[in-house]
Amino acid sequence: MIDIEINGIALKAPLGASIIEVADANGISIPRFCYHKKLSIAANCRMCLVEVDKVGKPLPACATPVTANMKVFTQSPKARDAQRAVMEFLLINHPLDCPICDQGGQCELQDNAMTYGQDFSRFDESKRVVVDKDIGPLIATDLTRCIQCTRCVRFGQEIAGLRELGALGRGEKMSIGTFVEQSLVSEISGNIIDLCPVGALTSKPFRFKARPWELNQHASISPHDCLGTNLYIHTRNGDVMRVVPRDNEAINETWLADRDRYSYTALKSPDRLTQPCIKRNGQWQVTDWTTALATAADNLMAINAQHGSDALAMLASPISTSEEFALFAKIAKHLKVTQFDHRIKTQDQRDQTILGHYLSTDTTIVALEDCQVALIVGSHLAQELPLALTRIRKASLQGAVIHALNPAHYEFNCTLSSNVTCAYEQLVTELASIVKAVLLQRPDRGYDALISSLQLKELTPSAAHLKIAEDLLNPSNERKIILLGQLADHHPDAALLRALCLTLNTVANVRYFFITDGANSTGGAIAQHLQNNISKPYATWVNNAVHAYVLLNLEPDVDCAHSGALVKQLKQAECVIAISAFDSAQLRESATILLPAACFTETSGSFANIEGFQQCFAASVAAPGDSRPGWKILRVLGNLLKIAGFDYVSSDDIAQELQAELAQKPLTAAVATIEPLTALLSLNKKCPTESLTLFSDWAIYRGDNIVRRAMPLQQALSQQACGIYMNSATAKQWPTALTLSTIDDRIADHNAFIPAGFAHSTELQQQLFQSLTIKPTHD
Amino acid sequence: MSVLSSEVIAQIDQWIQKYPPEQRRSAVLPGLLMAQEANGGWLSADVITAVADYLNIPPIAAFEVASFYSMYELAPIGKHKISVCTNIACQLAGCQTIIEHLEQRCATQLGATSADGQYTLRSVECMGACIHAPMLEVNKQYHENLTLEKVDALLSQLTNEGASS
Repeated sequence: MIDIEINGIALKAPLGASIIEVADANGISIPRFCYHKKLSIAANCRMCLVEVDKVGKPLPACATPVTANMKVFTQSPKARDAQRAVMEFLLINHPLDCPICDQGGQCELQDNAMTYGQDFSRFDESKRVVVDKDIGPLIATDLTRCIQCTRCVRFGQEIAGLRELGALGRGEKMSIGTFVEQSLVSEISGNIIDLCPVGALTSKPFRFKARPWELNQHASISPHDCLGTNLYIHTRNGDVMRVVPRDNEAINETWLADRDRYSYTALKSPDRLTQPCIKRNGQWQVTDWTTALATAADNLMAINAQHGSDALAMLASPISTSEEFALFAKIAKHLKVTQFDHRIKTQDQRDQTILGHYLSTDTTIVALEDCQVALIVGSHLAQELPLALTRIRKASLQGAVIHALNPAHYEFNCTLSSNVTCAYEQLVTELASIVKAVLLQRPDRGYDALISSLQLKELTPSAAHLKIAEDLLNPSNERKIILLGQLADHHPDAALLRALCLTLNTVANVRYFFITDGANSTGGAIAQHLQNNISKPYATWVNNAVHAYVLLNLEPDVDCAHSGALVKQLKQAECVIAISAFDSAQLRESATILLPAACFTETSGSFANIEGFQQCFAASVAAPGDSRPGWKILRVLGNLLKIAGFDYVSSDDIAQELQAELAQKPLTAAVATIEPLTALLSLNKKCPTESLTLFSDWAIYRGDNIVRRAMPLQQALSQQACGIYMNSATAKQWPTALTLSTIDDRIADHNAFIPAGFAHSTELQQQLFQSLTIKPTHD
Repeated sequence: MSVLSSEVIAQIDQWIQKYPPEQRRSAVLPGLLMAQEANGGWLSADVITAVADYLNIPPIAAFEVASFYSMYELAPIGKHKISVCTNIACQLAGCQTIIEHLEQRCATQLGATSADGQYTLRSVECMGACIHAPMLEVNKQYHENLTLEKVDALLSQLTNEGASS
């Protein structure tokens, strides 16, 4: 630390810090446009000029490192003169159209012009005009307002790792644009709206909808991914107008994924379910809450009494709140329902009998950027957790070794040491080969027994496997992480993949990070854990004939694995109670009672993120029509089922009870006990060249009932329409008459990929196999 | 068939060798020039992308360079690109008359291409030949101390070359 002085105030500053960093840390304001704490220094706007003692010219505070005994003046006549002059230059070509500009009221240029600008202009000449570019459905451009700070360009290059915008032309003619006119493809592109200090880049869906001073701000949590991104909901007159990021260095830093930023547009969807409905004699009738809930409770009790608890099944979406999960689990326990799960997208939970429920990571989100080695398995990370990838990218830029193993050659926007593509069904053997390579390189520990018990005997690790093992075992690499993505989590052998990760965890101290669905899979796991793991995994009973179902926040035809089987069972069931914020024709076909639930932003509750960190939020707006928060619906249902102690007045009551229970019986990281896990391993030795394997996973904006109805996101998704994707060689070998086939050479040989979450996904999977002119040898 | 011919690739490789291996992108200026020359004097989006891909840089980074410098053409140009200096020395020595004469003889405007596709007129900044102002450059050749007669002679020469080749 060195001593410096700013405006006569003596300060301690770390050596190497810039003047602006020291000033910011001490609450001294220096105007700026191009400087941003998360981006590199460009020093091209010159707004932060300050006077430094014994230096003739004013210096840019962002690019000047502090030195011992430096005396800085941010408000001296010389500094003010320089700042005023820069302001005048910046305003020369700025249109000053604040009354029609969306940024008005939240504009850094406007704010600084108030302080540093003059109230008249000496510039009589005509101003420059820049033609706007269409960069997609999410971001509106008004490039005449651009002051060329290049924050957006640097964001793409440095944070997103996908350089789509650039500074084109030179001098007065310089403008921001894309190479060929195209939509931005980055999953976190919306952040340039927040970064833009003027109104050149604004939110397209929010455009001309509201003024910032009309908005109320409510802190909330994103429902879409397992990071638990912190955000602010901005409302006006009871309507959500937009969503912006809320800083949390431990989770999302200052960023927001586009999925979290724009999903609010679904709240006003015409699909909203606003009244309780009951199907009587095949006809839907609108009813009141009392009748609907009484009918639901009566049906459940009658079926339970007549057929026993095995005639009941309860499914909850992983975007449900912890409070909803808690009540859901209590109802299940009361009715002795064991067919009860939130892991609706997964196919394999064989390890539940060994591991029980556990935290999905034994490390932190921040640790992703500090790791020295990362192995990413079965994950299209840019789409699954866009903000986790920005952390991995930071690690990569600091020299971390990143390996990926996937059924398609996905882009990671950072430098990878290896990006192995293998057939989907070979993921397990590939990962097992890596594990074997690790074990072989540790002869000191005597893992011979393990090698044979793991059935790894027949595997011969390739050079690529040995290289990954070498990196994992390199003694200078202390911080190692293996990420299992959603492709792995939804894999028919997911339990084996997890078992192999936990083996690496024990043998080589590799931390694990199992990406889960929705914002609150951890909350679901906690609820099951507190009910003593009485429930059975979804995939084990989806084909069972069940008399009554309770569905919470999900659409069975597009939200679940084995959706075809589930929908078939639902249609045969006597009673299907769907608690849902959205209505759909498919839901009406399956359900018998529809209970309208509040959606994201409309309910209070909490989400537990992948680390198990519970984050509470309040409702920002009221739910439309008669819809009610899910916890209230479940509470009354519980009352009608005569469950004792179901008298919660607020979601806080449930949260407090949950915390007390959790304190007694915390959810912990998985304790890898390798021997029992090895019992699971029966490696798939199927020869891949004889068959065509279909794999599927949810497209980025199709994962839950909210994003599916966010129109701007759906427009942005258009490049990844529902279809069959194969590489050219595979398409030649397995000709299909289906016109929806698309050549995608990233896909592994002998694999076909169909994105899930679309209305036709399931149908298409069946059609594909029927349409093949050569029949595969299995399935 | 790749967008860049093997000759162009070989030329770019020579330039890459002049820089440290991790600074492959330094060859973007000569790379774009070589590619432009092989592409009839202008850079199409395909060509820019091909150069960017070859140098492992994002296409937008190559496009930034191409849009910054005046020696890159982003649209098809005439057979002969006549670059007239309009900087201060040439201004004082009367380049305006030369330009007007050129515009009339080539039947086009400064900054545009003639309808027959023969000539493109460009205004450029100082090319370092102030001592012999006014001047122009065509086909990598400087023509200095210009007079209207010299311009006429030059244009007939260019036309004849076109006829004989």
